[in-house]
Amino acid sequence: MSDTYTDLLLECLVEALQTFAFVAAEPPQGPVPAPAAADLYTLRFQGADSGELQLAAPRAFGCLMAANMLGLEPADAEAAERAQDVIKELCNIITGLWLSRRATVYVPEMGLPSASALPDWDRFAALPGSFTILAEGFPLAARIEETP
Amino acid sequence: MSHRILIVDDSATTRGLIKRALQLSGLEVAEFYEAGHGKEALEQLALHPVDLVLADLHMPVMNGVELTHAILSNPVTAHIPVAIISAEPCTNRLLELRRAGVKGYVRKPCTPEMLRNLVAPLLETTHV
Repeated sequence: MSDTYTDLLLECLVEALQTFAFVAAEPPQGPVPAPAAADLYTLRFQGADSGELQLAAPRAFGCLMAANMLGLEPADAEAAERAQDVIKELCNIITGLWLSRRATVYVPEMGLPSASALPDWDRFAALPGSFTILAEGFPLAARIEETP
Repeated sequence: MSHRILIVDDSATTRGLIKRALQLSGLEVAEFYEAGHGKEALEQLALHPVDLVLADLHMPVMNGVELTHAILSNPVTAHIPVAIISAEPCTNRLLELRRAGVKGYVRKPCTPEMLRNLVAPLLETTHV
């Protein structure tokens, strides 16, 4: 993926966090340690351009987001139950923003987001086009995998 | 004046987020009803009178456009405005949505203020 599209993804991720969750994001000031438990969220899009948004997030960040947005305490069982759904919704928003801001005539159709355990954070963060930001102190890593 | 709103989305969490955003927007809502897809929404509408339907575009069983068609083709519910809230960029589909009878559309991420701006004018037209 071109640097321009990577920059656009960063812009969309930061905007989605701010608008959707009132969460400020900032670039890390040094190496970011891998979180203890994290999930990889993916969302495919298909059309004139096809690909997949990939977003890695610590589970604890999902709990914090769910708590913030649903008016719960982060330690509540419901916050943990809703954590993945909230990050999936964040993926919907990021992908929608990213697709709409690319200068293409035909906007691809978006699929449904899915989540699975991420066994190796460092490997994902080192993939081409991947970047890491800090949101409320939690690392988030993201990239777009474009497919022919 | 309090209103009744039906929120239709296949994610219970997203329904909760929309509900919370509406509460934060300052709108007076007496009752929220929820449905996981269009068909469930029609079942809810048969049980409860509502002032507005807020629906996602992509849902299993019956999507937002099909739901709008169904609501507008039933004389009992044809007066209820339907608005779409979707993360998907709908520039290709705005005409289709308008032709289907959708009265409003807002792209996620939407703030409580954006939701209020979408919903308030529609509620003025149809209080039960």
